[in-house]
Amino acid sequence: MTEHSCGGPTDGQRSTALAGRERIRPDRPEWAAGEIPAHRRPLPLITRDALTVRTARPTHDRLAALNEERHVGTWTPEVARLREQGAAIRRETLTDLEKYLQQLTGSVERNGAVVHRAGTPAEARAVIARIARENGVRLAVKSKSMATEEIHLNAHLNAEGVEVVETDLGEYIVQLADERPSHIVGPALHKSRQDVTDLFGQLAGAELSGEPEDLAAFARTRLRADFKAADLGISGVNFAAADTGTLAIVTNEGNADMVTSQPRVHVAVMTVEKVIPRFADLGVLVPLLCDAATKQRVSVYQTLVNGPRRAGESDGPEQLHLVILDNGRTKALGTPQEEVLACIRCGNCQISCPVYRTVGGGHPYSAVYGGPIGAVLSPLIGDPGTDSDLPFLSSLCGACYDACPVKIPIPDLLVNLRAQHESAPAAGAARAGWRAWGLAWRTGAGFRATLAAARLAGRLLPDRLLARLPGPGRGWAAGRALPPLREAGAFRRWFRRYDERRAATRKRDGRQG
Amino acid sequence: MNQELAELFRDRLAEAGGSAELTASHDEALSLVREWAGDRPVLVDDHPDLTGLEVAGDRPPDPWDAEVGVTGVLGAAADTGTLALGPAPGRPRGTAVLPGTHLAVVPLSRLHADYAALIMALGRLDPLPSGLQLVTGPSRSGDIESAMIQGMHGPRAVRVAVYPDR
Amino acid sequence: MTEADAGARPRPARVALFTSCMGDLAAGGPARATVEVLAAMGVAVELPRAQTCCGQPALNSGHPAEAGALLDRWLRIFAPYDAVVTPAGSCAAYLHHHLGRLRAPTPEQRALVEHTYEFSQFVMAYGTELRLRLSGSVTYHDSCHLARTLGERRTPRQLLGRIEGLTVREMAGCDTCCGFGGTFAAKFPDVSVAMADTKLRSAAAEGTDWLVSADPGCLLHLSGRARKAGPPVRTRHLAELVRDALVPSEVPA
Repeated sequence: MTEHSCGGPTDGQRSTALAGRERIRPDRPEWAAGEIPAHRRPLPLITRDALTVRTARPTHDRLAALNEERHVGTWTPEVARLREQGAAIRRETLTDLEKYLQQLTGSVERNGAVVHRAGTPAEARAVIARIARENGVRLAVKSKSMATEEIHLNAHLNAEGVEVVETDLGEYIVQLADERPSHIVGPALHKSRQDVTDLFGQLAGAELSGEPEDLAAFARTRLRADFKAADLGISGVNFAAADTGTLAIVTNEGNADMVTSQPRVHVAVMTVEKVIPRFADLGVLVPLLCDAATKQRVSVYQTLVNGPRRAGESDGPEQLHLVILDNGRTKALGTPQEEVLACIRCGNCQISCPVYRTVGGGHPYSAVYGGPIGAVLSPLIGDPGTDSDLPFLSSLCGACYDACPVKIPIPDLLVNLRAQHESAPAAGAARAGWRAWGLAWRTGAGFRATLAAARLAGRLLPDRLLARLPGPGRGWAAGRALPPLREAGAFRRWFRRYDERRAATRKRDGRQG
Repeated sequence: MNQELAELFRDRLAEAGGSAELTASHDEALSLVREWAGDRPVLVDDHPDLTGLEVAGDRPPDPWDAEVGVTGVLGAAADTGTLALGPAPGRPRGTAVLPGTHLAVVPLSRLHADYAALIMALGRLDPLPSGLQLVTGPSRSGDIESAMIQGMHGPRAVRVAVYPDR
Repeated sequence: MTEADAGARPRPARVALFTSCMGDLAAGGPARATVEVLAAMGVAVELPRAQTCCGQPALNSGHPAEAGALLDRWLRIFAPYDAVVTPAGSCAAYLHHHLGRLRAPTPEQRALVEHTYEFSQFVMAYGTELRLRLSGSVTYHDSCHLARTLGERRTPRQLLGRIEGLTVREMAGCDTCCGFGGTFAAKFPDVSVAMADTKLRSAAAEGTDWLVSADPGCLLHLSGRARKAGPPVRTRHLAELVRDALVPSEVPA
């Protein structure tokens, strides 16, 4: 044991959980970093490199095992009924989202909380920073929230002199490793037990047992000190009921109960689509979310927040703030893409996706949200044009649709977004190519000319050379033998002879009969 | 009917890693809780269903030092094994999350058939309490290679005594 | 619907083969086998010479205008037929799923697409009298669009089950995408190939004689990978396997 291993906070630091963080040696590819570089490399190059990362194969195997164990994509009759109901409830608010947000705002304010509407990440960050400043906050504890990932809240509050500690075990692991969550529900799904042992060992400056129970106990002790010491609790919101103003947070660890009950101030951050019409809808949506996310009937905890602490109560926050973030979402209303706003963030589409599994989880998608839903959601949020290439990182196999508890037609939405990408000025060459292709294949002669050209190329040019020509063939040939192009059109030639024989036989039979 | 629901509750709570005993009376339920609590430092909620409960352990000055928390419930759901708690003066949120063991008593009259029915019943509370804690078994995490770890931030043990009250 | 019900349905009079662009360019074998199996069923399938492509590559690449134009053409060319059969499961699924998304179809166009069958669907609906025998073992790869968009997981397996002497072994992840994905295979070749390896490893673990599927796209991709550097697995289109299983008296002259 070294002198650091007691794990107490040092000067200028209040967090116990993060003490010793400077000892951690980062071991991650650049695309896994907490901050996504503004000008990232093209996705085909990132995903190619991602396949060679040490953790890619084991992560694939773990995810594939989860996919099999949970029978992702199939639903028991009981949950299939919930799925129909849940899908309908989630679309109810989309018909008039602003009305439900107004109703929610009224209910939450009646409950004694303060509501802040934020159009952009910058506005949301500014609101939260101001709350922190006004309350003299130096240490904040946070329970899992993708909305705060989206606005890069931690870095911003750090710059304001506020330490932010992630308290979900998986989030804590990726925070220490300076990474983003690689999965919506299981942020550290890409980490092996050994990875976590090494990481916590570096933090402690001591060798630790690699038993999951011991690793969890190590994190629990440190995080417990922060739950007690923090002035501010930050949480996400899974569902916000418009009629009662109830903010529902779903966890298994109990960290949301801590975060929303022990610090003086609680800031809940939600994105606009989290609103649901009625409190009673939780009876459908919570079991549906939990089945899809972790195959539980319900998670261990649902923390329902109806306001700050009331007179005579000895815990609960003195102040409750709700930040409602748009970040581009309402642009999708009234378009086919609005379906993405039905998402309840279960992460099931990610587990179901063979591309996501193969590249080792969400990091190579180089966006806050990876996987199928990320490829639909990410281009919608943030700056226009950002992540517009993500929808191509899918084989359109459709497993995500089967896995979606609220039946979002993710493959169709991906195809729509591809069309948007291809209609941008930058895609002019691709458009011209496809237009030429379309013109040729719109005539029988043009198509037959393609067949003849392919046949000629296949006959004259060796595969080695074909594989080097620019165009789709080069990508294909990198790891695969080329198809036998010299046989292009062979079927039509065979059929002509076959048809002549068949006609002759018929004629002969006709004469005989 | 009530007996079947109580058995379903017990089985489903057990699946979630907790445990429940079906007792014959309120007195029996309270004496079980007393036995389970032992002489450990304990927080006992000020709840009418706990009237008459005498525990051997002391209430620690700092609730964070308690090892046992004892609560009543607003309701429970049989098909999931869920308990619903609401804060009030004398019933802080911390009782069910700070200590390593959570003990609760559930009268059959407040045991609902399923989770949706529990939610409906809670929604009818007027006014709603400032918060609602729905708890199904001990705290857990699956964040390290999906291995199930029991007792993450909340209790590692949840024990419930169910009793008939009509 | 059960086999008995299906067998009782009147057979469509004029049946066309939709080869698919893949079939014309590089996968003629499955198209030929489809013609031969249909002949054994007594169906003299016709080949509309003007056919090209259903438009799927364009739509999936983000060019719905081109896809729509090809779809219109497809609808025109196949309009005279009572049924269309194709060995390309993905193209059949595409037509079913995207007709209403790309166009406001007429009742006739809707009916035409409703009578557009993937190979195994047509054989199981109208070929119940076929006698099939082939010794060997296969594992079946569910192509994504056949399994998920058309919901056909059972029909191809029922057809395999009709082949006397054939052993069918299910591989792990039989309905996991092989990584072909149309232009995905060329846009993300490394990911695509890694997915092929996963699939080929699963198939190799079963040790069967063939990996069988009902989609020429998957098969070109998988066989291309297996030949170049992947796990050694032989691939076969379902139509070719069924053609090879035709009991000799039923092979057309």
